[in-house]
Amino acid sequence: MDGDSRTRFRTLEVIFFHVDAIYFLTEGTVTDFAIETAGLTRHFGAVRAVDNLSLHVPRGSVYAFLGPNGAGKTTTIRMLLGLTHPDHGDIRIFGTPLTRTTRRACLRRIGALAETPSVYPHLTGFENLQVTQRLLAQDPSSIERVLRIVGLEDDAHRLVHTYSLGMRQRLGIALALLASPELLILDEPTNGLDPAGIHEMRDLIRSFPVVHGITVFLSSHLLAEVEQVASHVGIIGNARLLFEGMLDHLQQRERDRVVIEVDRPQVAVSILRQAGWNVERVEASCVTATLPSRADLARAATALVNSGLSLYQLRTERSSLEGLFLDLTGKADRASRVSEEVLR
Amino acid sequence: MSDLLRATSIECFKLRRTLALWASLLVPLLVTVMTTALGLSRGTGARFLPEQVTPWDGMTGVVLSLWCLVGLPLFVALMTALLAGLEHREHAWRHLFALPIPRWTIYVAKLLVGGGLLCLSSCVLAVGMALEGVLIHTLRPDLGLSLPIPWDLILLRTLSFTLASALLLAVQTWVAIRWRSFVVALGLGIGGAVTTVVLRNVNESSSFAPVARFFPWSQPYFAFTYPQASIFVVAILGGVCIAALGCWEVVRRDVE
Repeated sequence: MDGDSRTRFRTLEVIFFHVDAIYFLTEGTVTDFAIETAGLTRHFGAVRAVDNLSLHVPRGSVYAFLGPNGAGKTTTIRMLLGLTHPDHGDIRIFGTPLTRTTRRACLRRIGALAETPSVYPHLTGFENLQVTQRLLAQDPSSIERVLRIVGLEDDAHRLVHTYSLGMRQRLGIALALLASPELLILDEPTNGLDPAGIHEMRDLIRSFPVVHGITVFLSSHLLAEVEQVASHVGIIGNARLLFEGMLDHLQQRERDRVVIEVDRPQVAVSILRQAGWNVERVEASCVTATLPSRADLARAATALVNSGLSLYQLRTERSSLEGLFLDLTGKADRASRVSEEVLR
Repeated sequence: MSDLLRATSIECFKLRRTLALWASLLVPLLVTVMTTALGLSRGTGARFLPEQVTPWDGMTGVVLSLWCLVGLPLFVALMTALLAGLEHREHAWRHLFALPIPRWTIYVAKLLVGGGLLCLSSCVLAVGMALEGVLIHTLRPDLGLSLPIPWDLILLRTLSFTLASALLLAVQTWVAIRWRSFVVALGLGIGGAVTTVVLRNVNESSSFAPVARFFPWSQPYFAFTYPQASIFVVAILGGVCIAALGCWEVVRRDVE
């Protein structure tokens, strides 16, 4: 291979390698990013908290950052807010690199609720907002504005230690909204909320891009939550990014799965495999198979019935992220264990 | 500078309904109430410390000994821990340090408000000593306290131990902000107070004398018992250096 060919090959390789990012760009409704990270890495002693993380959060999206506890979500958010410094890698906020010198300029565009709401229980909700409003030299009218957004006008003059957890969360979001940010970073915003609180929070988050033009980056391990509010999703497991893309694409991957309830699952497995379909799971009375099209579904049903099996139920697995999420994070866990064993 | 002014005014704003503010008023008041009760219960013919020049010297010496040996180290430890606890309790450091304001202003504002509360407690103690003198003069004229109140003596002594508390304040503020646990800051204060009680008996000719004079927790005591320029120089310069070091460390480190 001559030099030119090698260069062309390398260029193609790079394009191919970044095909996901390009796809992501062209599929999105916007063409620039509120958050971009490249090779973000952070260790705590020997523990790898975040490893080579490259995120692309499109402007105007609700981006759900998913992962099990301890996967590296909070460390990532702390790095995005300049609270923790990365060992390696870059962060860009609306295209501006986040460094010690640009920290304030970047943070002016961000409102954040980092983990639990940072509120003063001995002050009223209104006084809590005054603290941040005065620190940021904002107009006092901004307090009324954010109280209206989060629906806390009636309780604003009560001491915060009398607030419910949901009210505290809403106050935390009001604090984050005070400076009219373009990007809202929320770490586990539904943590500890009751179903009504979760519902309210979901509505609030959904309204931010639409009503206020704010990009939302939220972390969660409650997958059902994310499905209903997010347009984009990033999945992190074992400190690494396992998936990034639009939520629809993730759900599409899940829709191919069909759960077949039959009297003799083991026989069904051999019939399906002989016909060339992939069987993912076998349970006491169910078989889960990948059937990419409706025609596959009809053919599989006919084959099973023709083989004398009693077919009780045939259903497409609900488009929950749960399965895929567990698959992805489970694989990451297994891979990590294998690499640890190899190292030993 | 406007950032620092804003941060300081907000620190004052956050003091409402806090124990830190009440402690600054009540702890020195408690010390004067205790010493008043002691003074009034003295036997007939008793005098304030015989080595003191005047009865007012003796009376203020009793109050200030109790304050500087035990009250002040514990009060500064408690007050700085309570001020830092406002942020530690609900992890407000994360919120504050993620705001687009210079981080050092938050640290310095805490230090300034801590200094302000220390000055407030000193004022309360000064007024308390004056009232104690008036009360003893009225109820126990045999103890020899005469009027008018010697404000120059009271204010000079108050100013001495307050200035000599600068290093103690800087150390306790750093520890209280640096460690989330209330026990660390309070434990340090208690340890400092106990050590000061031991160090006060160190002879001036002893090789331990400089250690005793420059130990942050014992400096307020020695500042009024043996006022020497070196004590104030070490307290103020040391306080500024420790404050700068603490600010640098806290601002640069990762936020928990």
